[in-house]
Amino acid sequence: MTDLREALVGLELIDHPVQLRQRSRDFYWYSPILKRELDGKAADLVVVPRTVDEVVRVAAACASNRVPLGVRGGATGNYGQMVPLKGGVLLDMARLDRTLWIERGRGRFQAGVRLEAADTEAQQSGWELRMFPSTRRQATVGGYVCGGAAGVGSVRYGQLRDAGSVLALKVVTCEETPRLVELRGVDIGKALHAYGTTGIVVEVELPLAPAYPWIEMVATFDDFAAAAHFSQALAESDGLFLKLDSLLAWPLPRYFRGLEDGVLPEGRHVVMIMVAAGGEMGVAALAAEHDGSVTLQRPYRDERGRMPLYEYTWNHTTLQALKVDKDVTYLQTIFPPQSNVAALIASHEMFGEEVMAHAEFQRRQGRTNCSSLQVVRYTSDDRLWEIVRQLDTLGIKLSNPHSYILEDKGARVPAADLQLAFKRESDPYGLLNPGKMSRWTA
Amino acid sequence: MDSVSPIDSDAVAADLAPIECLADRASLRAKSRDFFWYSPVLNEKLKGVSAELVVCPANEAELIRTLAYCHERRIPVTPRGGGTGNYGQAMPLHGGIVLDLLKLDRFLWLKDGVARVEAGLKLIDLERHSLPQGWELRFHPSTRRTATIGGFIAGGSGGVGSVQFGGLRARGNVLGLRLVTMEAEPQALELRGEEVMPAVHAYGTNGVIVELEMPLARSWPWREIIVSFPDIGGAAAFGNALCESDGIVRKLVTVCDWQSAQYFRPLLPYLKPGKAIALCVVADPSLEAFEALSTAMGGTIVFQREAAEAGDIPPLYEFTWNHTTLWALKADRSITYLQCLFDGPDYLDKIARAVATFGVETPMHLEFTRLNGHVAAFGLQLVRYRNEARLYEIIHWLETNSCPVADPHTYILEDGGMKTVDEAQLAFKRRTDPLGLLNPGKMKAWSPACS
Repeated sequence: MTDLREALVGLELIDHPVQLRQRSRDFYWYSPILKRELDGKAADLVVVPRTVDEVVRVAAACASNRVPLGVRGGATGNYGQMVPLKGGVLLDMARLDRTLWIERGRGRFQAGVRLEAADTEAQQSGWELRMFPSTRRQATVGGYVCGGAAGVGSVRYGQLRDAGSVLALKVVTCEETPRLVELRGVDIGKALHAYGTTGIVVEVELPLAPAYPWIEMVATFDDFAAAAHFSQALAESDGLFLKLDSLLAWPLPRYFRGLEDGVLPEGRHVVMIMVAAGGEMGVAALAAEHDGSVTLQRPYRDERGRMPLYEYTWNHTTLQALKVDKDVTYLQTIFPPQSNVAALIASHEMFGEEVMAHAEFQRRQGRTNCSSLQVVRYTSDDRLWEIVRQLDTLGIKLSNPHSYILEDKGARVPAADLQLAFKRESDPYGLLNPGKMSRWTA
Repeated sequence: MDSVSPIDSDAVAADLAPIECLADRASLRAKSRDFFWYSPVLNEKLKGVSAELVVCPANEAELIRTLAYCHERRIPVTPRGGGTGNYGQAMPLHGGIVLDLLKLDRFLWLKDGVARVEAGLKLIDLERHSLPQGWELRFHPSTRRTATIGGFIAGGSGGVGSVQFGGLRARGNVLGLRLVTMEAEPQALELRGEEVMPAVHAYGTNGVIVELEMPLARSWPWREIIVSFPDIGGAAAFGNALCESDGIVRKLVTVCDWQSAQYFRPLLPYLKPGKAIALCVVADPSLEAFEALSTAMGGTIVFQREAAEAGDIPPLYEFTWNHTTLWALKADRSITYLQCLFDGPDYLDKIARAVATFGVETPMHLEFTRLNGHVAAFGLQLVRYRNEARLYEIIHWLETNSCPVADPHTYILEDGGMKTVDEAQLAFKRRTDPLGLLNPGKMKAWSPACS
């Protein structure tokens, strides 16, 4: 480490043990399993680069000294994506926070730009992010493309991995003489959702969407099946322009604080919606056809002191539950195309309140499907895996949130092959976020 | 309405003064016709149809006066917009009056992406108001430059943009409308949300639409692109893949084989003879992904430009939807067309079977669309017309092979896209037009006994 520190003279370094521990954590503690495995893991040194040149210096120093190198954005991941398993250096990208340009529906950002800032800047010229995670206010653009998959907006624009969802990534390789590589088109897959194992993402170019005036709505239902059919029908209504369609089974709404009285009636299942202004009538009519009623309708405004509906959805749902009840955890599952609603209803009937159904509706290959972030009353690991096995019999497949291994998230083989091949060039010593890519370790 | 006596048009015009009326032969002919002549079947049946008087109200008050007058005298009234229909939607089968609504052309307001306009406003003029504010129509017919918004709602179903937003019948695509009834004292009704449905695609048989409230879409910088493919199968597979690419924003995906593309005269310098093409309108930020997909699927981009209204080459959308047939008809008057739906998990196979079965007799033309939350394609095949019997043989084959046909060779509402009697439409007509004077002869379910 002495040689390394000499190479990093002049950079902002943090080595206070408390700060090292704080900066080495994400939201892995949602999982009791990961909590056991990752508690105590920490970097030996945090570097806060201000320029890409400084990132290059750090990469060169780590490569020369064979020191592990990880990257931290907003640290809002849920499976230890950025947690340094083998110590070493952690790059905190917080100061690489410049928006480089926004024009003709595209934006180019440094990796450390917070999604909220990116979205706000885009809105100033009439655009907005196509999608963002529920951690929009904390997460960074770089963290999202390295560790995220979808989010608020996916009901219209699909997944981050879909062609056209990310336009370019600029990565720094981890070699004695690091290279700057611009990835575009199919090459984006070399670093997208790779947890930073194949290169240090320093810039991200995203396609934007024209900004809409959004309306937040809550519809509630006595019957879970009716709510599930409503959510699906809503997303299949091509004339209703949506940004969010989240189904939250009772008793999840019991954990939600901050909404007015009457919005979340006792015992009722909830669908949280963002729809373009003008669509309110259509949503209400569809809810009525499913014996539901609208209990909240208000313009979406991004302002301090007001919790947006999306902060009850996606991975925030589990967080809201954990704030109230430390004994819950969650699952992350994907559903069979075209029979997703039946599977969702069957899973709800199978487990009742032990596995609280939570489904995020989204486009997949032009159709509506859902993924689920079920909140689980945790009793033991054995019971958790038993639940997973039973869900599997319904065609509901685990994308394991209790593992920090990249390939356990349902990574498709071609993407994994591409990443492994690229890593051989970009990280010949296997220093980038070591221990996460199991195929490399093997 | 079987026995309608001719009206004394001079007297009617005098009674209605100062409302503008047209009775000269040229106006009567021009305002009594649409593009029905695409169909040799309709051409025979409708070529003699003519109104006896064209009345051009300038506002709702004049319209109400006209309707009250006609109600009292039992004069049939057929509302008309731009006259760009293809099945005689706005043709006065029983004579009487054609209501020309082109003067009702005010753009009333635009707020939070919702526009309120009068029915006679042309689509192009609606967008002239909305585009500077960053909004455009969610979808429009290929007749955007001549059709009116009221005519589109009353006689159309979908168009350029339906590949994003579905059609007019999809929930949320029409937010409200104002309609005047045909009664002794005509009423102006405000319909909102689901209530609008009985008046959508009803050919003006159950009220005269005077205002519309439409949800708009935020406008994108669009690019027009033509991709060439070795064959129709490859082009159709590309069309499907493009529509299933949720990250690529597109407004138009049209596929033509060479048999139908050969008539696109202004585009011929760019096209490779014998090849199929996809005509696409794609958002500028999606260009790279679009190019990569077309290359991966064996396509070659042969034409690309920023979407344009001016220049030697018309906007690409004027080669699509019902304009495709028009280009063919300009070259060969014996050609006509079909409208069918290729849907279901095997819809690309259905397309392949139709191509294999009919070959050059039905040059293939596909319009990709979203329908009930998934991707499907309308077939607007050209037909090298031999006779009516053969035409219905082809239709029968399509129907029995699970490709439902919206027969474009009939002026009867229910025999076109609807297939069955729309009870809501009929019930609404009982209320709004108890004497059956509005656009008589189009709604099969209606008979005087209904009232």
